Amino acid sequence: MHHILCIHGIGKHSASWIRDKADGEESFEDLFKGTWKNFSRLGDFDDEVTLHSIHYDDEIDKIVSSWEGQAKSIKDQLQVSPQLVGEVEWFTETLDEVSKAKQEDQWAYTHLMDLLLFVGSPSLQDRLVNYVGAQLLDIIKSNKGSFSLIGHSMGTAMAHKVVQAMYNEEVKTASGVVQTLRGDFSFETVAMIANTSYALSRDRKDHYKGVVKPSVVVGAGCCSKWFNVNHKYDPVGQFMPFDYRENPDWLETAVSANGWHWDIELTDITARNIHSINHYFRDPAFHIPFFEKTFGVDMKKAEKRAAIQKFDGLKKAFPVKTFKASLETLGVSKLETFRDFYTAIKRLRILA
Amino acid sequence: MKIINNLVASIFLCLVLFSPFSFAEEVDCNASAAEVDDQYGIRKYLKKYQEFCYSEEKNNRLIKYKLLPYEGLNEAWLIHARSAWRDLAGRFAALANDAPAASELRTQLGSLAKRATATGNELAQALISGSDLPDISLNSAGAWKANQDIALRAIRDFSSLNFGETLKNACETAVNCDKVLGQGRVLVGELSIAQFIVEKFSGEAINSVSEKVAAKNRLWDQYLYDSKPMLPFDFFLTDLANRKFQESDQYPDGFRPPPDTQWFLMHPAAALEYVGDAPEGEQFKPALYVEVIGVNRWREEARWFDLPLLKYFSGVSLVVSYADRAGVSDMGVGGLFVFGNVYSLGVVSYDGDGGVFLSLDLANLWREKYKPRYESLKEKL
Repeated sequence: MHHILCIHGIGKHSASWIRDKADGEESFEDLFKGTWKNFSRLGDFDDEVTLHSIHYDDEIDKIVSSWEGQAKSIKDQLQVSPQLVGEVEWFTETLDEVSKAKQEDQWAYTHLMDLLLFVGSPSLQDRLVNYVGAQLLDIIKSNKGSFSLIGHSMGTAMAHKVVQAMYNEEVKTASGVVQTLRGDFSFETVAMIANTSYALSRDRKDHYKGVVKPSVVVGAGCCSKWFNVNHKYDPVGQFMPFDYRENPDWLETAVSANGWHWDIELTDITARNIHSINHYFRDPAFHIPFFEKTFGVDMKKAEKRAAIQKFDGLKKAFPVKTFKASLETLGVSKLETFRDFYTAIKRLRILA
Repeated sequence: MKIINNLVASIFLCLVLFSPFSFAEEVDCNASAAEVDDQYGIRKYLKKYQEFCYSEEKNNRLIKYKLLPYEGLNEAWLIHARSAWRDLAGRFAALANDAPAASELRTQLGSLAKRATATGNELAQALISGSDLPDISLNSAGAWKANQDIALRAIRDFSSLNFGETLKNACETAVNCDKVLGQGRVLVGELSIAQFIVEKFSGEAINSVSEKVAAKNRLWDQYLYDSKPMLPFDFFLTDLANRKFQESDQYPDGFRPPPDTQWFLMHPAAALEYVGDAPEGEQFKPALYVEVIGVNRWREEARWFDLPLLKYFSGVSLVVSYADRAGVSDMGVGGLFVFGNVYSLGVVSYDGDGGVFLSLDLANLWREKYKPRYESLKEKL
């Protein structure tokens, strides 16, 4: 069995998010299965693959809920004195606004709160990294077979940090020998979709020096195959993009020679929400090499052609010209600050 | 009708159980090269062969090596594993000799034989010295678990081996691809034995790391939800005081546990306050207090004093308090003392009028747990 661990990005996600229909579309799991069936050499999906939802949005919600609870508790306990309640309004009103945004699924809450907690507080980041790491390790410990990792959007930053921590976590044997996972575990494929791992890193100078890379050497990397997938018109992956060429040692010659490193920039548009994981995965320019490399299969040429033709049909059905023109005005590559980036994201959301 | 239905169901069940036709996906263990190419491609076929077709043979071999039944990484098992490596090295060498002379396959299989010899020697050395294997060990899944391309990674003096590519190329150039396929079947069978051995070592490491991270996760649960509650400003000051903004988020030392010390900044809470000098009817009142700055050691093992009773003392803060009380100044200044993360006792001065307050948790504890006992004792006396 091949276990694919999927880490979600920014926004509202349940603990079983791969099965949730996003933006009224099919779920990621349904899309994955649907594209799988186009290729006969992959075999039967249920016999070959298990997708796992790796989540942290629930923990963010829980942390914010505890703040809301404290605010409510103060208001309840001081309700006999409106004067005292007034003294603490600076605190309770802020939390009331957060509660309202949360209940109404406002974009500012579902997206900005994720970013604020993950990037703004090092200790809360440590908590979320630990929370996700514990999920990954539990799945790896409890299952046999092969393992791959998919991260999307802020999930790529999460994946990068979690994998670094996983391989640097030391345990000692009875005789005092230090052990890590470096010699013991490796992912088959790591796929970073709309890669924000560099942009959301504090320690950028060491970003390309760790184990989060493909390698043919035991202990030097976390996986055999690597996919870095961005979209030309998606500002998220274009802002301070992940670029392995910052460190010439990052990409091993043997990895490149084996065809195990893929740096893909998609350009076709088939839906308004170009940032969604579904939009990326639907494109055969990504899912064909992903399937081939991750599952060690050379797909039949006729089936690949058919998949591409089907995708071309989706492209034609989408009014791409005017949409592209709007996206091009965002000028993502010229953005230099997080504020400009946030403004661009908001405009993209309006377009979507 | 019922009898006919039952009969049909029984026949159907027999067909499922005993039929040569499979209803679940299985692999043809004797498929020809042409069939393999059409249905799977050689790499995927060999992975499936290893999983489905070799399992019984593998089981028999492991019993013969005395590696099954498995009862843990005891000395006897390690000695048997050492013998198994010696045998595997011989088998890989024989497989190499069977491959076409001067072929890439022969070279790779020869390298594999040497890797197996070195792996056995490493284990023997560990047995002799009584020490554990090193972190990057030949006796690990990293050295022997083939990926989906049937490729093994480089380790120490042994270069990486891409058998999937080699077998595929050999098939394309060979006169008889079925022979290459046969060699592939033997190779993945032998690799499955090697992988069984190393997964026992690597499994221990994975379990240990997983347990350690799960323990840290539980500490975080305690820190966030079972200690003194924190608000956003508190997290900010705690991060600042613990120099967390200077820490690398490349996690060079693994997952981080929560800090031992919580810091509090402008943290509001409600309390029940007593001011003795207040007019009658105004003495007991709810109060709002703000911890201007405070500190708390949430873990019992990391408290300020390791002495009976004093070990419950967990934190202290400078507070400003507000009370809506006639005859007394609205604002007081004082100190807050925290016990067991949750129960707080404050002492404040309202322009010379002293006040004492209890956090609502302490007040509730008194009311629910201790007051009934106190009242009962009073009555007895």
